[in-house]
Amino acid sequence: MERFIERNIKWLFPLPAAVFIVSMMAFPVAYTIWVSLTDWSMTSSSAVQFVGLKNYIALFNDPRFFNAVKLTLYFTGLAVSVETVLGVGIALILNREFKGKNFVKGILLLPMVATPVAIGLAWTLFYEPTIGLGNYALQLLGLPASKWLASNTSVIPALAIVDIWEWTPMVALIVLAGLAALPHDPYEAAMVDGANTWQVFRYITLPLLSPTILVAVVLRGIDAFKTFDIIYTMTAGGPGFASETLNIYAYNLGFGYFKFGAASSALVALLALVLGGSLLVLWMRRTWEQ
Amino acid sequence: MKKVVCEHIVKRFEGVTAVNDFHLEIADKEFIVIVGPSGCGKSTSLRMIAGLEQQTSGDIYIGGQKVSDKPPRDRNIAMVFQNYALYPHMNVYDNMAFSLKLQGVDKKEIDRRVREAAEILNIAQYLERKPKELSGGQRQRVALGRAIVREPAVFLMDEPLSNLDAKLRVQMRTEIAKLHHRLGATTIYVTHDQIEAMTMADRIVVMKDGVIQQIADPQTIYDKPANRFVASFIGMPPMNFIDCRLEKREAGLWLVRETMAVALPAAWAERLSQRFGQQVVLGVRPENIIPADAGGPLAAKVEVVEPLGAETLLHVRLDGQSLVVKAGPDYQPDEGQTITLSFDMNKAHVFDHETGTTIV
Repeated sequence: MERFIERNIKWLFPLPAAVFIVSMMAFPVAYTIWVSLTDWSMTSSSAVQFVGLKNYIALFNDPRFFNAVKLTLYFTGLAVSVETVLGVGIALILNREFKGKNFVKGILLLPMVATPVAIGLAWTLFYEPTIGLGNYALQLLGLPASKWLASNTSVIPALAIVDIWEWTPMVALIVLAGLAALPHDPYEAAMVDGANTWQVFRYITLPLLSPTILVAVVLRGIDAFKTFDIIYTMTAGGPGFASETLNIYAYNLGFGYFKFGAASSALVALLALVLGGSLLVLWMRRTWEQ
Repeated sequence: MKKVVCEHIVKRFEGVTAVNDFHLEIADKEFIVIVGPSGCGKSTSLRMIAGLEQQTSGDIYIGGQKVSDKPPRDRNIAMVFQNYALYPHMNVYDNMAFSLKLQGVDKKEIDRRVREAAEILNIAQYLERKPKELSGGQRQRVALGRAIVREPAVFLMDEPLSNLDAKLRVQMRTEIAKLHHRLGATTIYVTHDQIEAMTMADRIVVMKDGVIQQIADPQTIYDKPANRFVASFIGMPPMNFIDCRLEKREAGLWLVRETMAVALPAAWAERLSQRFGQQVVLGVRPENIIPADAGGPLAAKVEVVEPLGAETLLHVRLDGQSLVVKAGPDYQPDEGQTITLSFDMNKAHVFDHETGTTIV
C-alpha cells in the first residue's frame, strides 16, 4: 500500500480537486449538453428520445430567443460600461489619502453583501411610479416621471441601475488593488517629463491599469450576462418579454413550459456566448500586451 | 545661464530634519556630485531641486528664476532615476519621445531628437522594444536618452548606476562623463559611491546627517578634508585614525601613545599651540605609511596580507591599533612578522578628538 502511494503520489494529491471539478463542473455541463439533444419534457409521458439538433433548430427559429440575446447584450453592455467608468473613478478617489477612507471602503462593500432578493424588493419599491423614491428624486431634479419597470423602454436601464448600484463597488475594489500595485517611479518621471494630472492619468495610469480593468470587465461581464435573481424578483422578464434575458428565457422554457430539452439548448447557447465573449476579451488583452 | 542656486534649504519630515541649511551655488555647465552614506539627505536634496519634494524653508533658483514653488514640469529639468523609472507600457522610442509629445513638439523634430539621442547612447537598434526586453544597462541608457532629448537646463541624476553590475558601472560612468563634455549641461549627480564622485565631479558635495560637510574639487576633498568624516568617507581603503596625545618636548612636537611616538613637522607648531597635552586624532592614508623590514621608528605586527596585483594591502597592528598600509606589489611580508613603519607626516592630518574637525 505504502509503495503504491509512493509511486502514484503525483496523481493522488490532485485527486480531490479533480473529483470536485468533474462532479461539480464537467458533469453538469456535459449533462446539460446531453439533455439539449433530447426531447425531455415534463408535460409528456412518453420516454425521453434523442432528437439531435432539433432543439437548436427550434431555438434559432424562435424570435423570443433573439430578443433574449439582444436584451442580454443590452443589459450587460449598459451595466458593465457604467460600472467600469464609475468603478475606476471611485478607485482613483479612494487611492488618495483622506480622513475616513476606511469607513468609506466599508460602506462601499454593503451593496455587495446584501441578498439579491432583498435588493430586488427594495428597488421595486423605489421604482413604484406613484409613491416610489425614484420618481420623487426625478421630481426634485425637475425631470419628468418615469414608468421604470412598467415600460418596455425603461425596464432594462432600470434593472441595469440596480446592477450598477450593487456591483460598482466590486469594480472599484479590483481597480483599487490594481492601483496599489502600480510602480511609483513612472509617475515621478512623468511629472518631471511635464505631464499634468490629466496627462498622467491618460498616458500612465490608464494604460498601466488596463489589464486590471480588463479583469474587472471580464468578471462583471460574465456575471451580468448570467444575471437572474434581480431580474426574476423585479420583473420576471416583463412587461411582456421586455426584460426576458437569456437566463430568464431558459428558466421560462424549463420551469414555465417544462421543456427541459429546449431549455438546455438555450443554456448551452448562453454558455457558448459567455465563453466566446470571455475568450475574445482575453485574446484582445494578449494582443494588446504584445 | 543655467546656474542652480539652493539657498539655505531645510527639509523636515514629521519633526525629523532630513536636510539642514543646504546652501549650494552651481555654475553653468558644472558637474556636481553629492555624495554621502545612506540617509544623509542627498537624494532628498536632489528631489527638492527637481520639485518632487517641497522644501520646508529656503529657496531654489534655476537659471536665475525662482522655482521654489513651481511643479517639476515648470523647472526645465530632466531627471534620471535609480530604478530607471521607464514607462513599462511604452517602447523605447515612445519613452524617449513622451516629454516632447507633451510639449507639443513637431513630430519630425521629435523623431530627429530621439534618433540622435539613441545614436549617441548606442540604443538605436532597440527603439521598438519594451523596457522589459532590455538589460539593466540598456534601460539606464534609455533613461539617459529620455533626459537628453528634452535638452533641459539641468540634468539631475539620482544614483543612476547603483543597480548595474560593477563592470557596467565603470563603463557607464565613463559614458556619462563623456556625455557631459559633449552636451555641456549643468549636472547634479547623487551617489553613495566615492569613486563615482571622485572620477566624475567638477566639485563634490559631501553630506552627513542632512548637513553639508564640505564642498570642494575632488583633489582638495582628498588632500584637505574638512573633518574626520570626509577623510574617512573619501579614499579606499579609508584613512587610518590613531588616537594620540599631543606633547611638546625639547625636540619639538610629538604625538604619543603608550609605546608609540611620532614627531610632527615644526611648521604645525602654531596651529597646534593651544592643544598641548590634549587628546587628538592622527589621520594617515594607507599610501602614506611606508613599511620597511627594519630601520623605521615604529614596530608593527602584520596580521593579514592582501596581494591585489598592482599593490599589496597590509593589515597591521601598531600599539594596539589596527592600521591598513598600502605597499608596492613586491612587498609581501609573512603574516605574524614584525615590520617597521614610517608615516609621511607632510601628508598626515590632525583632527579634534571631540568634534572631528581638521586642525592640521
